[in-house]
Amino acid sequence: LTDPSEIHERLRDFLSAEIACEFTPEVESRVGCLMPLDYPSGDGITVWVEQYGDRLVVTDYGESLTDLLGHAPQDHKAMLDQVTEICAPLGVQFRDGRLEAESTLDGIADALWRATNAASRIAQASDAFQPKRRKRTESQFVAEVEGTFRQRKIAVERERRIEGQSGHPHRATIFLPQREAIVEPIGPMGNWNQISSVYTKFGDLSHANGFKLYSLVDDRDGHLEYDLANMLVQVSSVVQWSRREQWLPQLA
Amino acid sequence: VLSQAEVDDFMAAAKVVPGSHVMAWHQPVPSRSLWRGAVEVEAARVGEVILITNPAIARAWHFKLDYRGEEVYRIDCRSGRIRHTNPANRPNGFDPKVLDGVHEHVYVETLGCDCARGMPRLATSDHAAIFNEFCTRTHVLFQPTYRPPQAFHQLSML
Repeated sequence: LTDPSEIHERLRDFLSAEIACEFTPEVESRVGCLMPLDYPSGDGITVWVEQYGDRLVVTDYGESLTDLLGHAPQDHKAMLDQVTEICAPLGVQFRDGRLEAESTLDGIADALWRATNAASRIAQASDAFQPKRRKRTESQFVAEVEGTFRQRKIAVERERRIEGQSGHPHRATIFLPQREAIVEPIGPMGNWNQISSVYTKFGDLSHANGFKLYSLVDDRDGHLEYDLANMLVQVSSVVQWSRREQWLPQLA
Repeated sequence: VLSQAEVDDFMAAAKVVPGSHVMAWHQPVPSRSLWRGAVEVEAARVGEVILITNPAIARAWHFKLDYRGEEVYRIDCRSGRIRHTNPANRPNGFDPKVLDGVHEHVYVETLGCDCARGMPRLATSDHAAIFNEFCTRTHVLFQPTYRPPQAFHQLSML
């Protein structure tokens, strides 16, 4: 049998090769520590040590929030709420958007490890975060849209029943059979209920067939809020009524 | 989950970040700066460019391209020692580890953007130059007026 001490030695050598503690090029008093844990993306976790007298502070400068910030803005609060819960059992503070763990030199390795674990867990939670958005909706300018399609000699079916991947039957507000395209009109200043309903419908239909999915926003009286538009972008192509001359030819 | 063909088509397509405004960075949390802009293909909004920086760390920049809410390309930049470990089941063309401060993450079906490769040519480039390379590689025509992020500054934790 292999001597455990040999395994221990190799593990220690491996971990030693994975870590690095160096003064940073930009601030000489700051030590950057590349740690032997990775973010979900595969990027190695770095935390930094700053010295204030005999007090050492380990921080990530908010780097563990990178994945979180890539999510839609409306999800940030829910995700940030998780951060404090993740940090507390590790004895790490979340303050001003960054992790901090205080230590003396004797306890620095433990503080580095706790801050690194917190950074890793925050990024993993952000990576796995899946918002749930389920509501119902109604459309406002469907008739005008339908009329425009018909004027352009584009065949239109209203309220076509289409089954989603879940097996749930949906109604496509406007179905263009020649293009196998579904157009869901979003009323002026589309509200949360409308958007979330279309999001749900398209989310289910996007896996059901090769349908082209369009969210058509009536933007004559204002623009859809950025975060709501971002929801629709995840499941469809978002087109604006005011710019129909640009995208309508593709559906003819 | 996006198929490789979907992402390849999107990456090859001519894309526009529309607008004539000057980029306005904001801070969703005190430690980070962020800019987001819609990406259009043939006048349809289908994705987003997201730029993230960390003013407390020199050259800590991320340049992301999302398609239908999923990240499909990213360039990371950082000073100091870095390490990126590519997945064990990575396709050919990716080293096990990447040590370049500037590296690109490319989409691989089933792996997302976890596979990276170094961009040593950009090792000392500034934010504008790397962003320009990002737009070139992603075929993005960036119409707003570019403004660099807040320059690095040392934050006091006292």
